Amino acid sequence: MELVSVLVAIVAGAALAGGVGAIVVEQNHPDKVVEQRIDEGVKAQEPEVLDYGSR
Amino acid sequence: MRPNGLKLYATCAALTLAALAPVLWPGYVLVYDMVFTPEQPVNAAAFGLGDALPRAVPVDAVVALMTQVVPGQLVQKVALLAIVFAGALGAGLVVPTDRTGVRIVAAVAYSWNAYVAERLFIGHWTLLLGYAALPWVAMAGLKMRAGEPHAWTRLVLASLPAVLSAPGGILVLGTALATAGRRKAWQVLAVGVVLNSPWWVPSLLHDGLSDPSGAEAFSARAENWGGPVLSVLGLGGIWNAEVVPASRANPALPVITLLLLAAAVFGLRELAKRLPVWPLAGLGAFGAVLALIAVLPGGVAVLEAVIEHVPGAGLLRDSQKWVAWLALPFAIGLAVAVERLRARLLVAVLLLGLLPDLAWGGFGRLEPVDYPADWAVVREKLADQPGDVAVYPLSAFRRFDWNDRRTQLDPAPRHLPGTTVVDDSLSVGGEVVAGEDPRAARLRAGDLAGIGWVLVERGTPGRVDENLLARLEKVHDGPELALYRVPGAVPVEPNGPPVAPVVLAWVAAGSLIGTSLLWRRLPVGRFAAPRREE
Repeated sequence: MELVSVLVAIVAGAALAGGVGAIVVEQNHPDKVVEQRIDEGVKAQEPEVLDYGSR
Repeated sequence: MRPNGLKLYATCAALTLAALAPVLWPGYVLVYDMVFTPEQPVNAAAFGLGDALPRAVPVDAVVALMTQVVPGQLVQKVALLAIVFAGALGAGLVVPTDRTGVRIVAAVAYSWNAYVAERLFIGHWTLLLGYAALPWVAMAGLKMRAGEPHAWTRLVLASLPAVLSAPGGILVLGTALATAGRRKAWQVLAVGVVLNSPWWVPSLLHDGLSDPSGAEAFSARAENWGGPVLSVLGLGGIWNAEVVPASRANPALPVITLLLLAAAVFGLRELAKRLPVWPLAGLGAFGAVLALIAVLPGGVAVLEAVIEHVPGAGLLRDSQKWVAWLALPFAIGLAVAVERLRARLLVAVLLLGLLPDLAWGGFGRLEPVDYPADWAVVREKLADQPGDVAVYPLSAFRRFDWNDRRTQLDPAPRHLPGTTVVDDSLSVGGEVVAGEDPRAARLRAGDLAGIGWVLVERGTPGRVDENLLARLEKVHDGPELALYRVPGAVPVEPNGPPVAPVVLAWVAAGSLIGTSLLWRRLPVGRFAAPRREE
């Protein structure tokens, strides 16, 4: 059981690092600036019917 | 077995605050389908008597009545906090154990997961109220199975938050059937049919058919390299990428999902010695299959055929919601699996760590804002005035600067008095899914029959036909809204379902709720022989 606890601790740490890492990457990846410019362009020419969402 | 100490309650409160603290700020959280207003109108549509398919019945009626007494923002805050707190507490209490740590793992697993995050961020609060009710319904169902007196009254009361919406009502019915067992199935079905009647009766009286073209657009979606199957098995996979937390792209997630599921199955085997959990687990598996139906080979065609020909089958369109049935067996199975671990609370940390971006209202996703003063002015002008209101631009959704340009449902039908007609067609990635309101279809064709007022919402995408406005009489011209009177408007007769069966449904549901409350309080209920329950 001790071994399992240690394994759980390792997986928990890895998951936390992965989760936070995914957010950090999503917020800072090199295309972010390009995406922001595209967003601004989209806002300037927004469609007549707003999307409920996108896949 | 009772929960020991206040630790479980404190944990649930902490989880609630961790997820939703920003919601406590003054104002209204307006994201996607979640709309609250200071005072929602009590009108025919709220009770299922409008022209459109009653999608928000009975919740609109209940919120409308509540906001006559308390401000809408208070109702919203209580509802949102209750989702996380009650869901977590219920899951913790379901587990038959003396160890608080085990209950805490169940509470965290049930309330801090992708399903809760994604459905919160898309504003499906009524669905989540149903989700939060599931553990309580499961406890009531297990008491019914055990033949405890008054257990059916528990089932009725535990189901109340869920039956505010059609999916919630179906979720609790499934859970109650799975937990109460075959011998009590008829009692459970009778309760479910009556409690859910305020939405299914008016739905049946409409033709109830939806546009099948949304089957693929609303199907489950892959959130990482694990594909839609592992996304759904990890309780995520909602169709809309915009509401998915960034942490769902965690490359370790598919592997961890499989490990956690395996642990949950192991725990369910242990739990089966104490509780009849296999029907609940079977329901969870069924929910996962249903959630994945549109991504299975041939699934879209089947779904489209069903939606096109079966009234009410539109409920299957956003089918990922049915994976809610998997969450409870997963949470309690996982909790029991770690019962013997010394470091079991690390599993709770793992679950929190897997989804850090549910915290603090998704870091800006759930942020209250105030309605601009124009909305109150227009509401005042329309008070006690005859004539329905048509809202432009023609689009179901809005994006205002005052709400940080979040996508939100048009608040007009819930903000303005009387009946408001809005475009109910949906656009998903440019593909338009047709709406169901015939009056909205007439508006799209430029027909203002039966419309007494035209409201133009400014600062949101979409164009308004200036030629149309030129024929109208302007009565308010504010920075956010413009209101026009339609000269010579002739009111049209409501074309909703017949009133009598709908009223009967409400009376039946209300009577059952009232009887349950009285049965729990009156001597006749308290001293009734247990045999009566069987």
